Amino acid sequence: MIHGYLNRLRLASDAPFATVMPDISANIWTQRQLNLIEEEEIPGVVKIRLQVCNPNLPGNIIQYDYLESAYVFVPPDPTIVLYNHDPMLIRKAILAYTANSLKNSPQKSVTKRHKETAYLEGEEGNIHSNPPKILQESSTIDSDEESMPETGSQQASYYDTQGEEETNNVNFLQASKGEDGSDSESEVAEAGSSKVNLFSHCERGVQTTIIRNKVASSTTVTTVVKSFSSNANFYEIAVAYDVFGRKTKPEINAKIERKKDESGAASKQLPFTPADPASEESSPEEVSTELSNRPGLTPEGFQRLKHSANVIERMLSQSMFDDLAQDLKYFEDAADDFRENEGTLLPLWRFVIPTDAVRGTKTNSSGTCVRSLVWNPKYFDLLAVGFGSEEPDFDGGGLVCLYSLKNAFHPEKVFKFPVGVTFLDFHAERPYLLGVTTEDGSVYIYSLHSKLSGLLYESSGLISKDSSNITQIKWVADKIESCPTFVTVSFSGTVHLWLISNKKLVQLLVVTLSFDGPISDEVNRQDMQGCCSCVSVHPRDSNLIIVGTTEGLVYFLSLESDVTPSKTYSAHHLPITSLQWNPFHINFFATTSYDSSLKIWDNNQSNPLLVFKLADPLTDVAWSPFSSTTLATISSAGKVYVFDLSVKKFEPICVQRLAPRDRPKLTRIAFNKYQPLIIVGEESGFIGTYKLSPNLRKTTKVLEEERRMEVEVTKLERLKKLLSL
Amino acid sequence: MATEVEEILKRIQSHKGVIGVVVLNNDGVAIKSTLDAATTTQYAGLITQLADRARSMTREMDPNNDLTFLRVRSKKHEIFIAPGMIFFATLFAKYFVISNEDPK
Repeated sequence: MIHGYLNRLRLASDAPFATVMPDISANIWTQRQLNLIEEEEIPGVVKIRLQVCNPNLPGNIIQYDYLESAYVFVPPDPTIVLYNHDPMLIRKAILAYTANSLKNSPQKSVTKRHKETAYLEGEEGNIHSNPPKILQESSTIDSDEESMPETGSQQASYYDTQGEEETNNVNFLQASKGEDGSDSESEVAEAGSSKVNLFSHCERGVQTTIIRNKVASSTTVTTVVKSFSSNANFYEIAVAYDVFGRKTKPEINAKIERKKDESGAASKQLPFTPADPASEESSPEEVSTELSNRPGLTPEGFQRLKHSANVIERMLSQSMFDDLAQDLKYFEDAADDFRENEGTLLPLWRFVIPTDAVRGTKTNSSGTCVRSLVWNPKYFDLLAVGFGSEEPDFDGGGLVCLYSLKNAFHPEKVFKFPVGVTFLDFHAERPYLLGVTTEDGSVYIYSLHSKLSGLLYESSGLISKDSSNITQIKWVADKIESCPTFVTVSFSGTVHLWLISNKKLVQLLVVTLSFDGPISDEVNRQDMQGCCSCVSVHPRDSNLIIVGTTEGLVYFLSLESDVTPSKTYSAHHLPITSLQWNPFHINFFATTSYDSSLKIWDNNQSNPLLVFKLADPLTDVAWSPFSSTTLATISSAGKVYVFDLSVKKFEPICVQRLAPRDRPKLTRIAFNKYQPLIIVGEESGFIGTYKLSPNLRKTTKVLEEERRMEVEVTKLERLKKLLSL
Repeated sequence: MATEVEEILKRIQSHKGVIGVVVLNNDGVAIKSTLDAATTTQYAGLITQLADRARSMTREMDPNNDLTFLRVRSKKHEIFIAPGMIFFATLFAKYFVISNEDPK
């Protein structure tokens, strides 16, 4: 329509009126016209250009553009609206679509749509409006006079006509009030066929962002709350004062005493120091130890604390050395099945001399050589070790340490001595009695009883005139009722029998052994005395005593008969280091000497039954408690030799190096009565425990334990017979 | 006496693998400790309860019996708890070496 208008204007371009050309270049048509006109410039002809323009149209409209966020020029729209009519026609294609959708939708929504459509069309709020009906004629739509009849008919042909002359639009716009109340549903039912105008009615929804609620919280660290309750009555206060007073008083007293002592002479230090004198000296100074400063810690409290601390230390030791304990109990070397007649020793715990004893001043330090080693007869894990020195001019002190297998770190008890210890022995029946001899000829008897512990008796070397180095001490059975008795031998050749009676030591001289060997004529024979180096008392009959000397002689004594030695054996050329009775057989004993030989004797014969010549000087021998034919000996080269005479008569069944090469000397060996364990002491102060492998501890089976003694004795008798053949 | 105990505790502490030693008194207050204060108080409270329960259990089973020690082994550590022996006056009674003592 508008195009036609513009064309007509162009055709009339050479009309007499001219217009002012507006200064707008946005309009395409005007632009083209300008271009055309400029090309066709003919001189002499005045061209008047006519342009379509609306003089009333504002040319400088500005509008805010949201896209660019600025004010921009809005090109004026040179169109003029001549006629406008709201459409009331729906295209049939769309009609079909809406019909389907209405069929499927539920009735409610249909009524809603009706509502909406009715509203859009200008209707005011009646639900039961007529459903829109298909527009069948459009020829009557335009009621405006300005419409062109041709165009109207063109439009009418566009739509489907059914020939009905109904003024459907009127019906469409009408709202039937009230009448259709009952019919609304039927009309709604008809809605399946009626359509909804999708152009004028659309459903749109917008979803706003859902704001999700968050809960943020924080917790603080919980404060530790501890509840505490106590009583504070007069009794408690008084007791606290009492305790405080008791604690501070001895400190004051000790300070006063110390001042006195410093002015006086140095007191003779008693050799027995079961750690108490040490603490007496140091406690006045050591006020600052945390434990002793606390109120409420009395000596009894400390006792209990000490006990607890001991328990903890043992637990620690047991847990750290747990595998050793398991090995002792359960490990059996399986290789022994394949190794006939041979066995090995499995190293287990290793004890050391406590370091605070070795270091220190001259009076405080101790020799590190293990001079003596003895298991307690009652407790399988308790062991007493005497430390001293084998050097003749050693002037350090000595130690006796009681170790337990349960605590491998530190000995249970330590006794200090001013001179080196030579020998130790436990009483067989009274396992709390420990006899100790030292290098200055003193004998000390200790009790380890829980009720009474510490030094019981002491004899200094000055008692007996001819005392010199007492070398060994052995307990014997009580001669007199309930008087513990023991035997000592010394370098001066004297054998003493001691009694503990009436709370003191009584010394009886048994015999002085005289030297019975070849001497030169200058020396008076009677002055020569055999220097006894070792003694052994028979475990079954403690009247039988054998004494070994440094000249290599063995003297046999019986305490019942007269005191002179009844038999003498010239056993070795070099000093006898050790001799031991066989625990089962009355007559058998073994001797070792520095001349590297181990000899087994029968008491009745003056010649040894068996002689073993080994490589190194031997230092100790021990019979096993479980078999009468098994014995072990150690050498100063660090080796241990184990013999089982019923298995191999002339060779050891085990030869093993136990000590490191730099300090190889092994000094003492002892078998444990209850466990398959031997313990070996070294010159360097180490004590090693070793488990015997099964081959080393073969025992004969006995039906009843009482017959064991017989069985063992018969074994030896048989051996003797074999050897004598 | 005090020095002996101190010596033993020092020996225990100096072992490789021992993290700390705590000595408690009968109220569960730490007298001596080689751990830091926080851990000590923690242990003090917890162990008191455990040791008490253990002791009462052994006592209930057999009144003549008594707890010798208690070992708690966990994945990372092992704790040794040793109770004491004799009961003395309530005021001086219990000493803990990671331990407890019987007040009865």
